[in-house]
Amino acid sequence: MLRADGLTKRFGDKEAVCDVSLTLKAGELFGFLGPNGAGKTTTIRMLAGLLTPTRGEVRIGNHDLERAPREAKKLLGYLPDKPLVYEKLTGREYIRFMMELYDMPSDVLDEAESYLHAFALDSAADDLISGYSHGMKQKIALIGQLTHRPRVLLLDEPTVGLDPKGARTLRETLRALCEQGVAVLISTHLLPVAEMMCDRIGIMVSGRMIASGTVVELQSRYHTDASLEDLFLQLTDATEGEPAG
Amino acid sequence: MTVCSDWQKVRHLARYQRLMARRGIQSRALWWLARGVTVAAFGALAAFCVLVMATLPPGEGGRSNLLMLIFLGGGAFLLYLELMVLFNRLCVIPFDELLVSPLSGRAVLMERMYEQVRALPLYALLVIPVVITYGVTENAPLVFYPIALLAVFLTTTAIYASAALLLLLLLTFLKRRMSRETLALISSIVAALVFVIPRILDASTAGHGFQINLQGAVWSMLPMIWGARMIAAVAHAAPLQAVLYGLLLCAETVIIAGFALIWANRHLHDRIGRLYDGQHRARQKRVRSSQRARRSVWRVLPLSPATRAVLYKDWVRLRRTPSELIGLLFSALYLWFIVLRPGAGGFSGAWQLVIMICVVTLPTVRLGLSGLGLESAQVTLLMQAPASPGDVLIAKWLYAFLTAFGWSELSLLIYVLIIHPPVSAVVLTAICLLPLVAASSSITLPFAVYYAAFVATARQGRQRNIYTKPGISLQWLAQLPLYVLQAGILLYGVAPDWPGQMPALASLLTGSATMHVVLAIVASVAVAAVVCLIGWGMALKAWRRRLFLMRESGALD
Ligand SMILES: Nc1ncnc2c1ncn2[C@@H]1O[C@H](COP(=O)(O)OP(=O)(O)OP(=O)(O)O)[C@@H](O)[C@H]1O
Ligand SMILES: [Mg+2]
Repeated sequence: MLRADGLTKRFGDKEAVCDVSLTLKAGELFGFLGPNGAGKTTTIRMLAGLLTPTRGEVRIGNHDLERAPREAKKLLGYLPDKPLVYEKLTGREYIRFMMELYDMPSDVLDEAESYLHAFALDSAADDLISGYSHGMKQKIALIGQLTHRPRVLLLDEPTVGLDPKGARTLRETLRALCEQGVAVLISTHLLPVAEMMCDRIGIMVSGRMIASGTVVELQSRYHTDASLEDLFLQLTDATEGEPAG
Repeated sequence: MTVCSDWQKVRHLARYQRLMARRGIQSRALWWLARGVTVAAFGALAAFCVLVMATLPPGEGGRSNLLMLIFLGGGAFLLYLELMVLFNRLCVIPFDELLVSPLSGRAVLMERMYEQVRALPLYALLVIPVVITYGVTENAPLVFYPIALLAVFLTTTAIYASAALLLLLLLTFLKRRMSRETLALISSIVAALVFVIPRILDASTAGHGFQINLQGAVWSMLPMIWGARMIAAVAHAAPLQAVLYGLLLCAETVIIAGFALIWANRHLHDRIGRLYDGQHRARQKRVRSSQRARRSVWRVLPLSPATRAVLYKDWVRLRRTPSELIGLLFSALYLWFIVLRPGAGGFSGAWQLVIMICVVTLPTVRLGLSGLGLESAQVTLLMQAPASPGDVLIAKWLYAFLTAFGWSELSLLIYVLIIHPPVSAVVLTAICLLPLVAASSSITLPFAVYYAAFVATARQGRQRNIYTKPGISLQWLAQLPLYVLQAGILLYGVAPDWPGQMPALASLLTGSATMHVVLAIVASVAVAAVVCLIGWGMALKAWRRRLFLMRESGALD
């Protein structure tokens, strides 16, 4: 569903992301891990078409993101780490706005209503978003991305600010989406969550993807049966300890 | 002792403010140009005042009166500026970081007042040349000049202090943070009251236009004039009076400033906390989600879905931001001023119509600017959506154009109901408003794209429109020729039906009235078409470039 080849991004003379390749198959949930400043957000923004890669290319479905941006973006949902919503709209209006922006038929509104209910937002859905808390904004932004039925969903730390129930709903929603064949990429710092829900995991350190595969694959590759957390710390410490080069 | 340590902290904070301001400046050349335009405008005003002062006949107190008038006008303006700056810094922009830090209320007020020093040079630029001219024409002794400078300085500090006092009054009554536009409204009302109240109290001063007699007793109540009285007393060798006014000014400043600082120390934190509280409660209020009943009407418009979505969203936002509309109502106030007083400012008939149109349509340019700027960080939503750059720009242009057009036609209607101009003139104006507003919104567009700040920085917090960079004032230079041209065309079109409007041009006016009207419409549309093409081309280019840069750097500025 999504293919990225040799993605590299330089900011001035700083290389934030270096030669990252990844594939997301339909119905797959990919967990994106890495310490602060590793380049996760930068990679995801390149996948979403918000950053132009210095090198490398991204294909969404059968469309090249660079050459056919409109077709590619129609398939793409992206939730940034800071929720982007229009404060002067109400929750329902925002959803409607997203629906029209992506030119969806109006029957997705019923679907959105069920999401509003699932995320316990239905009582606040007619309030102005400016009065929402951080977690509520996060939820409404997520629902806005779900309403246009993306085939590839990129979520940057979506669990930050969500209450336990919201986090569980999110997990269940993502599972359901995967069963419908949506490819989901989610970046997170919560390793137990990643271990529990993701099919495959990629670990990024200093702009490079140092390991990717299922948890079991990773464990057997590094000859350990430690938890993902221990494995992660072991890998990142080892990589960051190396001299640069 | 504590005042000293507070002052140290204030200096420290001000240094960071300046640092952030410097980082906020995008282009130094444009910044200087914008500054230059302001200074030039004030310089021109000062030159005009000097000229008038120099040509006044000696005696009769005419010059003293003018001096007082300039002190009064300049003082009212300074008061307005300072109210704007101070209120803005205290009641509009949130500054939690100062409120949670262990700073005394006095230090916070001092820090906020420290900003105002910027307005001082403008006031001095206006007043000092006039004072010097006054001294020269009145043959004042040499000692006059240093004392006059002292008087100017004392007046300025007195006005500072008064602004602080008014702020305290406002804070006592205000229940929540206000918008910039409400602030502008209140400040200008205060500044206008300075002129109006004494005139009401003292009927004898009610002269024609600006020929107010300021010698009356009521005017002596205004601290802004004390400085001028002091200067006049020195020039006419009345030392006792001069000393009296000087002492009055000093006393006023000390009492008011002292009172303000003491009050701030006691109450500032909880008053401002209350503002924030009120703001929060007001935000919680429910609104009716718009149901979009007339969907079918929308579908008829040949627009892409993205354009339609953005346009509609902007309208909802405008409806929920009354402050933006207050900005437009300002111009309506001027409209009343012009319309209700026939012959005001020496204008009548067709001239009045033209001025009315400029006054009403020019402020609508703001809609075009804020339409893009207020996207702020949400602009990435539009970047990640399957919309072409053109889709977004069309939506922004339509938003500005349709809103401004509706507003202008409405104003015209009010004008017609009050003044009853000839029918043909009304029809012509109603038609010509379309190309005028269309062209005006298109020429705004490239500026809006270029200067939109999608991330508000500390410095931009002080601008009227938060998400617009300072250089935006340059776009008025682009509007000017357009308005002059369109106004000329309109005058040409209505001239035959409104005889006697332009005696100087009468010899040029030949042909029937219908021909005039038709020619005017054709010319107006042609001018607008050219301007629209240029504006659109530039805007699209600027927008593509902006998107390219944002994608390259990952930053929104
Ligand atoms: N617009 C930018 N300009 C310059 N450098 C940038 C920019 N955006 C990111 N960087 C740099 O790129 C590196 C990767 O940043 P990124 O935001 O991708 O990290 P991250 O993995 O998402 O971290 P976190 O877990 O904290 O969210 C950082 O060192 C950051 O300083
Ligand atoms: Mg990140």
